[in-house]
Amino acid sequence: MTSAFVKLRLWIALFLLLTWGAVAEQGTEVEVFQHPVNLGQPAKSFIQVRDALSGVAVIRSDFKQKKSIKVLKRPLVSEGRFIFSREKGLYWNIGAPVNSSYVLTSDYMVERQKGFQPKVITPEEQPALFGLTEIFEAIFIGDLKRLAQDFKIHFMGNPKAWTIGLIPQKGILKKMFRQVVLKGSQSVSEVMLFEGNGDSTHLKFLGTTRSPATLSGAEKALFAK
Amino acid sequence: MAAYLVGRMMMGFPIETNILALLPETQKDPLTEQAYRQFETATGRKTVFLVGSADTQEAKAAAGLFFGEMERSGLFNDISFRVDSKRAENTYQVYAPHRQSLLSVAQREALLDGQPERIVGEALKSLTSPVSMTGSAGLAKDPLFTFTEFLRELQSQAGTFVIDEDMLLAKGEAKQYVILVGALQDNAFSITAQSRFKTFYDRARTDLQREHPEVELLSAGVIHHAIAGTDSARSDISTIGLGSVLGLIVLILIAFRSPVPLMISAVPLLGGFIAALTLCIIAFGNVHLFTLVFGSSLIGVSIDYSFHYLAERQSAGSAWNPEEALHNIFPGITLGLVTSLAAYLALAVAPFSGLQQIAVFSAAGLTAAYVTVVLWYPLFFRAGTPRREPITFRLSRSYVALWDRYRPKHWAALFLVFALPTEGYLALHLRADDNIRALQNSPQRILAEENQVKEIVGTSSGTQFFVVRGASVDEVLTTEEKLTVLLDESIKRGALKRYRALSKVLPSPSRQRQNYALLREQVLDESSALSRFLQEMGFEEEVVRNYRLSFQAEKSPTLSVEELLKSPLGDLYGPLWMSRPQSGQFASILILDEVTDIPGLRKLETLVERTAFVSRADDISELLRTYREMSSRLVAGAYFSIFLLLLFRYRPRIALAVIIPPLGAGMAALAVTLALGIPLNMFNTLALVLVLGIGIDYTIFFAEKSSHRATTMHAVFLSAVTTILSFGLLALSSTPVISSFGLMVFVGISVSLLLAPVAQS
Repeated sequence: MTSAFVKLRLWIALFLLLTWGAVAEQGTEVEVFQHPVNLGQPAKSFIQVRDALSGVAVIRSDFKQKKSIKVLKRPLVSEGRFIFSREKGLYWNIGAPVNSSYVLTSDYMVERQKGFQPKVITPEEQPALFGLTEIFEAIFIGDLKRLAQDFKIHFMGNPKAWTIGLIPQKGILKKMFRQVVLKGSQSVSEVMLFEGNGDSTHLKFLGTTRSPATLSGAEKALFAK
Repeated sequence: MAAYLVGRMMMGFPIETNILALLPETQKDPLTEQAYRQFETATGRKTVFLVGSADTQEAKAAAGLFFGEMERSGLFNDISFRVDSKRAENTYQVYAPHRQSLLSVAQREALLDGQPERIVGEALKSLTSPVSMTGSAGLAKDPLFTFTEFLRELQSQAGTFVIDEDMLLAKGEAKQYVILVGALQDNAFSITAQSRFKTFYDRARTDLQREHPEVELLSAGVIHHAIAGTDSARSDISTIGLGSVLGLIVLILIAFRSPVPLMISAVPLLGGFIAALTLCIIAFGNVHLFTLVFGSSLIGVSIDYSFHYLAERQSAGSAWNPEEALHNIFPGITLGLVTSLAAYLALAVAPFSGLQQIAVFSAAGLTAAYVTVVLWYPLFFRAGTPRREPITFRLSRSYVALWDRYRPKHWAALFLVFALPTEGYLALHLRADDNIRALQNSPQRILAEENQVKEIVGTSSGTQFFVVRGASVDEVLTTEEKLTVLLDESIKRGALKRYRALSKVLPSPSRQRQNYALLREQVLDESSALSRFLQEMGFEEEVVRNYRLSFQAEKSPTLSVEELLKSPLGDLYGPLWMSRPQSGQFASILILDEVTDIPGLRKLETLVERTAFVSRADDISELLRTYREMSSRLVAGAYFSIFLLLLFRYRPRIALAVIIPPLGAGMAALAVTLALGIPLNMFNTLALVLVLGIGIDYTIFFAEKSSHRATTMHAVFLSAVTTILSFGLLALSSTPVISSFGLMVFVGISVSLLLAPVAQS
């Protein structure tokens, strides 16, 4: 619900493009929104991409995140590694600038940070947050079946190089994001989150692997409470 | 009298169905009682409905339909359904102007410990978190995330529901539930409100099932318990009333072989009932449903007077003289009335309004029936009836003859040989249970549904709470803050699951002032860790300057109780606040949920001044224990003092003979309860008083009348059968306390009847 407190301010896309030139150069993240997907009769390439993404059991990947916030003079850059397991959930580890990690499962969420007590949050305590983390998870792995519940989906490209555009349809998401863009091939390689107020987050996933398809014992331990 | 009653009936019959209304106020101080009443009124009328489906859209559509039914029913004066989409924003608006004075627990501790770096670390994490929802607008006003963290903590207080567009949704195991809460216009214990609610709920459920067969409807609230209570009392009244009446009809037809006495006996019954009801309403303003349950047993006792007269008439045959007959039975039935009245008045000794009502009701009814027989019967029965010996009479005669033949010589010694060990055994093995919960026996179905609702919505009904008092708002809230620290520890220990306290959403004025001072010191100091963070993260100069400016004032106005309660949080936290319950006094309530360690929590009241732990159910149970002990002593005292009285009138041997049958009866009743594993409580202990009061009648009859023992036995037999038909049928009640009461009376009177001939001289 915290985001509900964030005042809704609709800034136009133009402003975004000016503040983040890189986006303007590539263009597909703008163009994709001209290609809405008819979920009743989706194109074959969309179906291929959707099935390829949703069939995944485990994903491991490094990431680089660039957060552009208007009131900060320069973007916030961070990097780390994540592990997604369909069975367990999402483990998100930020290496720099502060070492911290997050475990998101359907039963609990744990925040760990050096020098702090781990913070365990349950859906009972923060139901709204859990609804959101579920969606974040779906975004990071490109779970289109889940995303279709909350977003209007746009698609362009082919299974080797595609762009997906998401526009939130309701509630908190609508207040938070103006739009979301995913790019990728075998799996998601880039995520761009555009907020209504002109802030944006750009994530790049590097060295993504899907095998082995099961978690090792050490990896499983990372998901513990 | 009848006219008065008819008048009252036209105005709506004042029947009370709340079982708790039978109980006395617990002996807590008035402020605590007031706190409880305030909370009870605020929550007692709330009824929660959950409309659930795996498909959120379907749940919402069904909830819309249900809401329509709620509105049309006119039962509710306030329904929360569509949530103001600005609810969150309005709450935010109340806090936002005071953001500089609000800190999360962790951040406050960091500043108090002189470790602002911890705030910096949290802020950095929030900035890079994958799930943070940091936006420029919020960040400019709250660059250190202090307010954000406070709101996050606040939110965890709010319960387990989310707002989906415009409705409150709660997540169940496999379904989404839309939450609707209706505040009943009337008291849940009003019978009209109950029947209107039933009509509404049945129709709404049927409509819902027709339109959305997959949708689940759940509901919880006091009204469901109230309806169940009324239904069970109703069925008790019809079982006992009908049972008594049918039994009596059969008995009269057997004993008097004519329908005329049947119709005539109805007159004193009716008179008694009208008198009882009228007096009760005049004295108490209402009649409790329980009184009626009990009162239906009155039928059996008040018909005794008719029986004595009719038996006299029957045995007189052609030598019938109505005045002389009255003269014959007058001492007997008068003594009978006096002892019964004494027994009923003993019930009224306990300051339980319910028992007092039962006592007044019964005493009035008996007296009226007695007066009807004495004044009216001799005028009515001018003519005699042929002498007959009905089967009941013959049975009685054989029974007395049986006693004459086999009567043990040293029966008193024999009795003592049996009685003393039995007494010892009973004393060692009888078990008491004073738990008030035994009084409330809502069906499992209602309790299960209530738990399910609780589980889904995560709110408490709360019968355990703390009352915190103080001379000022600040004193109350700072006391709460001390107490909540201990409560949080108690949660970790597992002593309770959660609690709700005003200070959790409204820091005390002192704490707000302290928070402001702590933060101000850091922000204004350019070399502090927090200021350095603002520099290093590259915040725009204007943002930093504006943020500093917001701390210019030395003091910041604090967020007040009134402001907070005007916010949307007011509906949840308003019932917890008591503004000026007495002059110069403030108080608040902390509701505890799923308490498992009552003694542990009770101890906290000694650790923090101006707090009091209240466990409503336990306080009442404690009271019930006191009165059980009191009534046990009353029983023992009654046996003893009656024995002393008997010694004045009879020789010791006869006095012993008169007291021993009721004593044996009481012990037999206790032995049966022990055998059946029924624990003792205040109510069935009082049954022993009735056993004594009625049982002693029988033996006195035998002691007084040396001749016509068969006639006496017959009258005693008829009397006992009617008592069993009335009180004994209470054993069939679905409420455990009433049924154990009935059982004891049944056993006690049966044994009294069988032993009664012991007293013949």
